[in-house]
Amino acid sequence: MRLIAYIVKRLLQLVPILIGVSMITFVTARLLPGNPAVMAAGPLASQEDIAAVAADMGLDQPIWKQYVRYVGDLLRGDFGTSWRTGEAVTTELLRRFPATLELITTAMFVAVLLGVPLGALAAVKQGSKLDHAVRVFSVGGVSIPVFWSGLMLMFVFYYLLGWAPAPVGRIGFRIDPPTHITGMYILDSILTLNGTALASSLSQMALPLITLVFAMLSPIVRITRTSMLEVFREDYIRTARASGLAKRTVIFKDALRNALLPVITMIGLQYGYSLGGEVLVEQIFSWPGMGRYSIDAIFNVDYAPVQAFVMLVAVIYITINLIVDVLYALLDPRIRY
Amino acid sequence: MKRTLVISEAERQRREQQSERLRSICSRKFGFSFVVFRQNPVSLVGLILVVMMLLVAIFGPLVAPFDPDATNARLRMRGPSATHLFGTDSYGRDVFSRVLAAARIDFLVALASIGFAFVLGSIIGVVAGYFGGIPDNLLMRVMDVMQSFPPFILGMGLAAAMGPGVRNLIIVITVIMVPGFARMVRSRVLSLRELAFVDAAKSSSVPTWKVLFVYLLPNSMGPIVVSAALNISYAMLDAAGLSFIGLGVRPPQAEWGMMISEGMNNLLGGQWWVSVFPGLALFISVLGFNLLADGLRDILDPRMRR
Repeated sequence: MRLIAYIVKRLLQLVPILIGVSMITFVTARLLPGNPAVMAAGPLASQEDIAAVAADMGLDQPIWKQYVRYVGDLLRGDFGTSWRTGEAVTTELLRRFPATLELITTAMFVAVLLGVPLGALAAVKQGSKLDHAVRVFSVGGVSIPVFWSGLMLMFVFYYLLGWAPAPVGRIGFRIDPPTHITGMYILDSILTLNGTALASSLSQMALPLITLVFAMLSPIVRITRTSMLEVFREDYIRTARASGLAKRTVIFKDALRNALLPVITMIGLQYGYSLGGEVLVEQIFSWPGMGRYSIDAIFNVDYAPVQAFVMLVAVIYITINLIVDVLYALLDPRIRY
Repeated sequence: MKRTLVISEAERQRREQQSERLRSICSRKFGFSFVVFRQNPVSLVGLILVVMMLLVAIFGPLVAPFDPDATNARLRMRGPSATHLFGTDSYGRDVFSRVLAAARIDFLVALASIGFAFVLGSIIGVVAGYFGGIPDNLLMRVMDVMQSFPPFILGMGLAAAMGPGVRNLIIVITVIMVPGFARMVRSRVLSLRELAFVDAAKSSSVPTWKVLFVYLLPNSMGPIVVSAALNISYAMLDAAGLSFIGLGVRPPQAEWGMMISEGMNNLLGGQWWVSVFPGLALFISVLGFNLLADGLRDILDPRMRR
């Protein structure tokens, strides 16, 4: 019951934040280069047509009325229309959402599976060669621009070695995508037992995945290492060791479990943060997700999709942080909610 | 205006110790840098890389063998050679000269935006932290909203609204960097304003602005400087990333991120040089700032040391 009250409280706290977020997207949408009425009316429209379209879109209304209308549209899930395709931005974004979700979630999963043990190991063997190697590796990971490391991987593994398939899209050219269930190819092909599609989508994903994982890994490794080192200094660890428990037991049962709390926060942050890197990776690998869609829109001076994408990502980011907070409260009995 | 904050005696002592440590670190400037580099030789490597790239940014364009913007239809996509060290791009421009010219733009954008964000964030943080109450709430909620976007994504939205160009790019990067600085300065000021020297200043009728900017601000600078060094690397990556997707500098201006994107299509034809060299330059610069910040962080947070 108290947990539900806590969640409700957190949700209420989100209301002003979301209003702020909508204000920012509204203001930037109004700053956009080009008159949206001219765009929507088409190239052959007369002055009267444009004025009519502007009135229809509410552009002649006072700014606060426009804002209310904008928020009303958002609440109904209407993010505007892409003038390039004439389709509702919401439909187009939703169609591309599974591709983005699939790539970034798999990357996060791999990064956590690799990063937490690596960080823990580096902490256990503090000052060793392994520790230094992990450290150098993580500084490298945060310093390499994803849009460059992705290209380099592509050059080496596709062009030079020929190991990777052509870096275009989520599945090979001649292979049918699996039956649509979630829209995520890997999951769908497992669910429908489609081996060919699975193999193809896995190999298509390999390079973008490695690119993203490399960028995500460093913060996770670093926070795990730091957090473990801090826990090692706690009295209860010393007590556990002094009372004769095996080092391995202490490390894995007592230390790691307690050290994971800050790691969870970092994972949540990192997941949202990586949506920025995801955009660039999608662009390089022609990955048909939301990020690539909005970059295409930028190149075509079609900014409604960009604003919608920015708004959507903010909502995702806020939701993830909320989930992290709730998880945190669940995992740490000291946090009163 | 003044808000009393109830803190426990232990907490007060802890805060005092903490700021004492920071103050002593910041006061011995030479000793400070000496300690940093002796304890962490890696950060010395970082410093060397940063200085090297800075020199490239300052003097590079002066020694560049060619005009970075001069096109030459007969010299398109030539590989690296003695005359064109890094080869030429699809317009026949000399990639080496462009990498040098771009260094200036990339450093200018990163340093200028971090400089502005540092100043703006410090003012916001000091005002919010010192006055508390309504100004604090107002300013911090605005920062909350800005931080509900992943920084690069907020940058995308702003840059799309403002259009490309170096000036706009600096504004965009400044905006996305401000909240971090503001938050950090605010939390430092919150603990500093309870200390005796601030009380003394206040009770001896030192004007408020002086308390803010002469007493509080300089004393909260330690961790902010480290975070500035670290944030330069993020600023650089974000600026290059925005240019890479066409929201940064305008062509034909040379910029590393944009050069990488210009060379992208040729890469899979085996013509690697247009993308590889600007990427290397960007990587080395960012790595330098990261290594430097790493050493500084160890000093300021002794829990990480040992």
